Amino acid sequence: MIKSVYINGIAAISPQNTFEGDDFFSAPISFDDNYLLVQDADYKKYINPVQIRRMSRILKISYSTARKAIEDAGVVSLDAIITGSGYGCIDDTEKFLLSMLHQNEQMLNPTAFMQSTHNSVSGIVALNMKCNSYNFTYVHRGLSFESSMIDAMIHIQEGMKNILVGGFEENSKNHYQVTNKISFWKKNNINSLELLADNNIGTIAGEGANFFVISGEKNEHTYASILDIAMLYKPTSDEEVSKAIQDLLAKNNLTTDDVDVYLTGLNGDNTLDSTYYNMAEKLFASKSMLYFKHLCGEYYTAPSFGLWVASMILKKQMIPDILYCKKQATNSVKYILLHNHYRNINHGFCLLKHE
Amino acid sequence: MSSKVYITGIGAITAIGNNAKENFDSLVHKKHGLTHTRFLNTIHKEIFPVCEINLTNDALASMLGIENKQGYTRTALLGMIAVKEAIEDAGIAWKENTLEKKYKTALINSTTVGGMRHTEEIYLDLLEKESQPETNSYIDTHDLGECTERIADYFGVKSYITTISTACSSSANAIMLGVRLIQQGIVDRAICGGVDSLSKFTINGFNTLMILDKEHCRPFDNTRVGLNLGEGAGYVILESEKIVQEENKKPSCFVSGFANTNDAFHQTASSPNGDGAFMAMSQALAMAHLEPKDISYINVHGTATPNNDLSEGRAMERLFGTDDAPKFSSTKPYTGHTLAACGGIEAVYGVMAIENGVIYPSLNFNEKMEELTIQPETETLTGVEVNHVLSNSFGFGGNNSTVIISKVK
Repeated sequence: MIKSVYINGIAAISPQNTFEGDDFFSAPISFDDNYLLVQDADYKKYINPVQIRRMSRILKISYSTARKAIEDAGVVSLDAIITGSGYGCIDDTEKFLLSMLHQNEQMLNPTAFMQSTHNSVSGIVALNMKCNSYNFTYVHRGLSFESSMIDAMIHIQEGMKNILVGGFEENSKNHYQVTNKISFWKKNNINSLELLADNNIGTIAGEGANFFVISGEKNEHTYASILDIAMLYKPTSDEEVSKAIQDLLAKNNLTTDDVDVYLTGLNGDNTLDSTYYNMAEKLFASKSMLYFKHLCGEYYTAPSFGLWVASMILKKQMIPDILYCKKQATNSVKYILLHNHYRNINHGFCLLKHE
Repeated sequence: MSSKVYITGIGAITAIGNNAKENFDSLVHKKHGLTHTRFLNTIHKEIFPVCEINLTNDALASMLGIENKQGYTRTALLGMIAVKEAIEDAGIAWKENTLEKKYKTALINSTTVGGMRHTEEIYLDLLEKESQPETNSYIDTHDLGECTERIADYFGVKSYITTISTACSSSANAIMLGVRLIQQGIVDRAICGGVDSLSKFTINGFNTLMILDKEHCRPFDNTRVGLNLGEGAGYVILESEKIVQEENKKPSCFVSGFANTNDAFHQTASSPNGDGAFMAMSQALAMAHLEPKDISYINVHGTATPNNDLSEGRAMERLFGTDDAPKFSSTKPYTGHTLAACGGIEAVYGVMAIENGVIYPSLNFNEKMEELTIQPETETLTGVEVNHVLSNSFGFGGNNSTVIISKVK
């Protein structure tokens, strides 16, 4: 990327108290059933009573988060709305699918079908904000959010001013049950805040909506800048991952020494986490290693929660203890490398800078 | 628009043909693909006709030389067949991992329901029964990105892989993203398009919205009542000026303009005056530095729902006028509405219209819409100088996309 972009507004509805106020994990919430749900916000503040009755849970969550991010950035109009989600509105998809199967394709209600499309969220934001501009939804598994942010960054290069970018995902009991058959989740219930203590296969399921307003210009709202984002598909070795990280840094005239914090997508699955530990050891031995999935759970667009965490760290210049996997003394945090991977298939890297 | 991005290969599979050439022959000979489903076990089997590809998953897999098809969805297989044709049409060597040897390549795929066709068959078993290896192999194929990765792995694409889902405008958006990634120098080449296979989920979904026609659909006809669903895949290969020069290629077409706008009117319906469509078409023309009169042919979205055709038709009249508006037709009666795939398939049709100097006929048009003056072309026109094709794709969520394909002079 030629020009960095600024994160000028953020909002997150997550299993933690991230939405209202300015709290930054002062009292982390734990879950004990491997199934994390968001802390509901007062959706009525953002959605009118007529609309709210028809909206699905994920639409309410995502729409409110989007509005809050826009408010936080203090912008009145958007040049583009870009969302990312691996499963989209899975609850409505399952609802429609199950009624279809149980009712033998009869007497079906269109609402669930209408809201099941992956672009429902970007559509509803455009609709309610009367935003006629560029509207896009990426649905590529663990790279849904990264794809969205790269698109937004290209648009800033091309001249757009303010862009809404968000990642969202919802948990569903049926989906949890089905994916449990292929060992996605831990067999024993654990305390979510002790995610890394359980050295077994599987992780914990999570959800959330994390939205950002990005811009080509810095202002008093700015949290941080994104220097660059890279994606890596199916690396065959950790060397390939390490090379991708070094290439990304080199492209931005930086080295691993410049990175103050290695923020990872560690998820407690002992078949998947070793790459992060290897990178920490080989590239960032003297740096702090952080993680966030004990707070939000695993989901396709969890890196968007990682970006929210990184934005807060850079703005507040403070790292809550709950985030540390490995703590090293740091005076100030100038550069953060956010690294997340989905099942070692999709790797995403985001390089952030303090402003 | 900055540097030119060329279309150097095309591939399509639909109910009217297993490759681009077969599709072309069907279009010019007015052969449609409407039938009753042979493969889907739905109670609507005899009620709603569909445009289904008459090949089993086994047959599709064997066309690709895949021996063990376990875990391959129909969506992935259809996508692979059309991508294979497009890659080979572009003269790109791909076997033994050679695809990215010289040029960084992106695969930008799109779909609306991905692996749903398999999910709906096994879902109750998954919820109610003990694990079975066969059903388990489809669990992680439900999401929309999985088919993209199957395609990427088969051909050895690695540099940039993503999937778009903006309902029925998805693959038009895949094409515009491909152009932008090439112009920004992020990749040299992009395989762009989309795929969807028929599923009970979509048939029932569109049925609840009451926009399926029990008869053959009639785009832009006054008596139209709805659409026919179809399945298929369509892809184009986009390459940079650098590749075209270095490889001494002689492409016939390039992407001259595009736009993506949002109607911001209703979750699933288009605005009656076609504001989003009007903006998409005008912005695409502006990017291409073209006047409305320069357009030789419009491949309309033309689903034959009362709402789409009125909205799109009004937008066209606002932009092109009523007197000498460009010739237009909808190819939906041939292929059915292939959802995420239609923008890719219709881009392939656009390229073939330019290469062959042909304008395809709309089917089933008898009575002009009372709200409009313009009407679709109903006979195959040959020997036409087709310089610029404008292709529309609109979808749920207010998504409106237009792509303009132009002849290389």
